[in-house]
Amino acid sequence: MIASGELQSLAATTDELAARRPLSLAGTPITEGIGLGRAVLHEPRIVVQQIVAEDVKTELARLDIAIGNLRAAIDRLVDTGEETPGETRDILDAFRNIANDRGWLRRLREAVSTGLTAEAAVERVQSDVRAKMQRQTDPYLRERLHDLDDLANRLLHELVGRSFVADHETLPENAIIVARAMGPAALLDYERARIRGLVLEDSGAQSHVAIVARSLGIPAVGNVANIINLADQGDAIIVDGTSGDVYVRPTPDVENAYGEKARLRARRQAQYRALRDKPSVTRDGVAIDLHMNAGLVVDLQHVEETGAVSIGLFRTEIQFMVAHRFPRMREQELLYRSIFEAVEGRAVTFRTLDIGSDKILPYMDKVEEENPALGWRAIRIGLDRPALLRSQVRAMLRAGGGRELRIMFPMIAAIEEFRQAKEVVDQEIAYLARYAHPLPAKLELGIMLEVPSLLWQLDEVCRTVDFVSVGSNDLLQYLFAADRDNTRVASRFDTLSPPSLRALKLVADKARETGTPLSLCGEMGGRPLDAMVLIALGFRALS
Amino acid sequence: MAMDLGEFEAFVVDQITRVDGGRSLREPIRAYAEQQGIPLG
Repeated sequence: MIASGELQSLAATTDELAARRPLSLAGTPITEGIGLGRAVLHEPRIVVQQIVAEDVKTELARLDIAIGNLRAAIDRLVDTGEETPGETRDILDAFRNIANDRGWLRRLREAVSTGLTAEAAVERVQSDVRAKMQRQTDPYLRERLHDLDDLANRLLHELVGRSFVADHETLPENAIIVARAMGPAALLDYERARIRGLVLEDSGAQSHVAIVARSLGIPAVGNVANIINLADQGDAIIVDGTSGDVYVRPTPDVENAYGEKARLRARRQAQYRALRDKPSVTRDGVAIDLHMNAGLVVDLQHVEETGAVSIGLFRTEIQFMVAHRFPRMREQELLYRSIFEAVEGRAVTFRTLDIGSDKILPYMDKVEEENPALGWRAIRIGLDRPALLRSQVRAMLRAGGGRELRIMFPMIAAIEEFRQAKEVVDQEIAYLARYAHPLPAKLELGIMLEVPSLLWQLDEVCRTVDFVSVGSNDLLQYLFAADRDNTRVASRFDTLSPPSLRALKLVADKARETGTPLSLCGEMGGRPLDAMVLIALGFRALS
Repeated sequence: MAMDLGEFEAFVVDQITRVDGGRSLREPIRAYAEQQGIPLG
């Protein structure tokens, strides 16, 4: 006979054993790269012990001191952030604005005035905020909840006098940070040199912390279900930021395979570096220009490494996506100026705001649409809200004063849309000239060819624009009416099949015939076989 | 990457004009490239 207590203990042991087995989990890739290390659970939660205040005045004073310390700590992060790339600074600025939000502070003080301790007041206010925001289905508003959670947790740590993240003594040399969600600044609190990877349970590629992870080059995976319960502090973890796979307590086979993969990756990078300065010319002497795509200032650090001749596409929407309101013209101008400075004399093609569809701005009214990918987005928004387009164009023209500036308009479906956008540029040039602002030394206006209707307007397009860049990802998904992110349909059609190649050849032939500068920008350009086929079709510039 | 563009171009253009529209050309193009000793990364 076995006593029931012994049975329970056996069961617990079995559960523990089950929980300790190797796990392979799938998530959403955030930052490319492989990280091997030990799990550090980011669980900054404080359990509030005392709910009722003994003295309201004292609690208000404690709250004020803690808020003062919190603001100072965030200010320090922002100041340290001077060395970090532009978008991280933007995120921190937005975070600082939330910390200074008068409504939030007023609610905290009101809660204390009802007789709660400062800690209980923080919890009460945060729980009200959470209740309101969890009803939101909009991922951007839910993301804002992570920011507010982060802020509330920081404030609680200030109140109880505890450190918000693992410090130098407790953080392992090869830390993989595992978190349910994170505010944008939390990652910056950890010692960067020791972080090998990041795994998030409830945040995806467009979250603020994901943008910070990308800007720091930390391999990261998001949306990993239940990771916070499945991983224990100190567990071995592998993060594959390229495939989105996460291995908790990996078997020696997996660990060896990934160790080898990481070494292979390092070797390949070294091989690419060795090729960097070799001319990109075919054996029979045809030169191919290789350009780089970027969306973050940090991407530009790789211009030298890659040997790219220019920035073939700079996605301007990231600045808008991380902000808490529309960036002012001056803020946009500063960013564009910093991009020109970062690439030292290379040409930059700025694509005007490509928002809408899956890229929603948190501060912009959400438009319910049946088919957002075919809806109110990109240049369609710019032309319907000309103040938005005007301010962006003015910022580009000012930043490009005395330089070579290329502006590209996305989602043009009819050449008339390009003409309207060009009118906006002309008006802005006239405005700047009137006030004697220096204008770009050279200005070229082009389109991103990604809507199939343009295939039957190629004569007009080539007569009207200064350059064409084929956006192959969207062009082909619209051509086949197959969402490239939908795994059920994405593999049904191949980019290397006669319909897509005939369409691309049509564009290449017309560009050659009319002497219109042509490039292709998209995943096809990054796959060796596809890239070779593009060159065979007549493309001489890939981005 | 080293290749003779002219020959490869002729092969690709021949494939996309001749082959039935629904088929993927990935494998024939890959096979041709490998046969020519073109490194595919």
